[in-house]
Amino acid sequence: MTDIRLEDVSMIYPFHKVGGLFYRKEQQKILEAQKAMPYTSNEGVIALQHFSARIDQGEFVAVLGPSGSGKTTLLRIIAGLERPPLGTVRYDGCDLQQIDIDDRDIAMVFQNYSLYPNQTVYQNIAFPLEVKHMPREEIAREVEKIAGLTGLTDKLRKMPEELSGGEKQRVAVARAMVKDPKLLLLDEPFANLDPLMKKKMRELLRKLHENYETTIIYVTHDQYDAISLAERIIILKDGITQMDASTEEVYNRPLNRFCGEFLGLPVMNIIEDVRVDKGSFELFGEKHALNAAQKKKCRDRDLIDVGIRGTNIQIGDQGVKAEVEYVEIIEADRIIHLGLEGRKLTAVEKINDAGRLTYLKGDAVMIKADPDRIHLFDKEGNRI
Amino acid sequence: MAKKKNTITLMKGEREFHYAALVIMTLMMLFCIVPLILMVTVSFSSEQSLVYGYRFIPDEWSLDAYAFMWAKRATIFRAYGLTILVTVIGTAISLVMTSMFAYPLSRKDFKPRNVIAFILFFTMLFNGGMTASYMVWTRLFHIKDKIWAYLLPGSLMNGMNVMLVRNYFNANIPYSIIEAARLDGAKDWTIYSKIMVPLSKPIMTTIGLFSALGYWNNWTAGIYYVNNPKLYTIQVYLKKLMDSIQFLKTTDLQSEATLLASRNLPTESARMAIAIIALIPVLIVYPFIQKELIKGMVVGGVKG
Repeated sequence: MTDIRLEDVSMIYPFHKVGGLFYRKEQQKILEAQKAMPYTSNEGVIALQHFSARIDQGEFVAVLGPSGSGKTTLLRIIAGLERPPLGTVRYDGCDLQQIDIDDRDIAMVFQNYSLYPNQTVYQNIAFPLEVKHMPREEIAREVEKIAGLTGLTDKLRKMPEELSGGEKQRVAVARAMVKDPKLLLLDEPFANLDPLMKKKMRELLRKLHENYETTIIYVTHDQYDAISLAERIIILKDGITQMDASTEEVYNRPLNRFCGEFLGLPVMNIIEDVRVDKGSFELFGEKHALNAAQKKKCRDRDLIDVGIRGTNIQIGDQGVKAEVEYVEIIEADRIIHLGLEGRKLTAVEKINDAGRLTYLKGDAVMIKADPDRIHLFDKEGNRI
Repeated sequence: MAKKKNTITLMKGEREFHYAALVIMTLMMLFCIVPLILMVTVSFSSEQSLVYGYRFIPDEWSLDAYAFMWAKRATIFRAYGLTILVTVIGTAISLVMTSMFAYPLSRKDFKPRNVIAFILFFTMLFNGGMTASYMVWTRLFHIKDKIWAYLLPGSLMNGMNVMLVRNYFNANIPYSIIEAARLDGAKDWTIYSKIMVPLSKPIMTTIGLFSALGYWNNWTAGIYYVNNPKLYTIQVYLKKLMDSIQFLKTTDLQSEATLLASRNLPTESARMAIAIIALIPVLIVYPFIQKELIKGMVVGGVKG
């Protein structure tokens, strides 16, 4: 049984100190850049604010957010590499800082692989078992097993410098998994890989998760990785949790405009400053009534922002007329960029034999929103 | 058909720069090599030919200095053996202690590291002076007339070397490797011995050579702390031998027999011959470690 509970965790990195005789200008620049960051206090830059979450045994959780949102800080806190000044991290009910690092049984895959350059692939993978003083035969058995799973059997005698980026990443994953950790932390592990290798690595991770039933926390800014792998997504922005829910819920019912825009490709269309009139609003020429809960949150004459994903804009015979600006083909999807009354919109259409062959610039199309998939946000960005 | 010349096109001013660099480097090389050549030729000169000064081509060639060394071979070999022993043990201990001191100083999670680094740096600038050091080593550690006299004072751990190794650790070994090893369950000793040290070959070679040269050339420790001739290293023996020859040559108290003997003693040539003998191991070892040494000197100096 492994569960992790983070309660009201905040992390502040002290401001860079300006001192000494040399490099004063550079140091001053760093300090000014830090002070200009969105969340700062008198003590320093706030990397994480009042973060609370519970992660249960065997869960695959993705922590998603833009650069500088506190994802890696969160991962390092869970790993015990950083000690937060505020809040507690509980690992199976015990304070993480009170547990000896050997007893934590945590493995981490770093973004830059962090392989031991002086050791062969075999030695790298065997390292966590060697420090446990496991018998040699058993180490060999375990290394061969994980090497088989990660496709590294023929690379075991090579040095890390002889490997490609994808192979290094697989070694890092194998080294983390070989000791069968209770908790596996992944810090943007596929950031440096090409799309094909990413796909292979995602498959590998899924297979390892199924085989070992390890709790996995996966930090990324790549929403595709998060959506395709995780059962649950935590979205961070400026060190604050924006949403913590299942992948489906985050995609289908974003709690705020940031989550809606951050998750999903292409980015959610936002039609700003739509006026509520007599309990309804107008979108693409059609009236849409607010439900009872929505009516409680906004009054008549209020301005709201309306969000609709490209996949929920239907192109057909009905609705309002829009003009095609350009078209992108991504895998089996056609992303159609449209102009409508000075606004830019994107609609997504599956490419299939029955559908329209192509769209040309300047083509007029009729568009309509799926009424069940419209997201409403107030002017603060919260879901209505 | 005329064969096209394989030439490198130089940009304007580059040719002049190359010539200037060539001249400067040649001069610097001569500054290094000339004393060495002079040392060799003097050691093969007869004592009489050196009365009017050193010459690159001796007026009279002689093997007297080496014959004199050969006559003293038992003592010289013992001194040689002791010097090798002191150098090997001293360098090994020095490398271990320096790297072990540098490792915690390179760890970001070791909070007192700045205070300790300051204390270390302080010792590089100030020390208790010769008298106080002598009292401490002889009264507290009782190293007089012991082999420890060569090992302990001064050379065992050097603040500058610690700083070099610490900078190397900081600048060349990503901190995430240490963190990865910690999460893999490795304790500090394992991280130090299995990761940090093997990854620090260039800087370890550099400080190893510095340290070995320090031990090899150290004659002051012997002069201060050693009176037992059986414990003379080659450098101390060289110093004592020269002092004795000088004494025989200059004293008024010598008899006719000693005067006669001292006149035939090779002094200048013998001094150079011993210096050459002392230099041989360094000349043998250097080509093997040159590559790592240069790498270590370059990267160790980079601020981390």
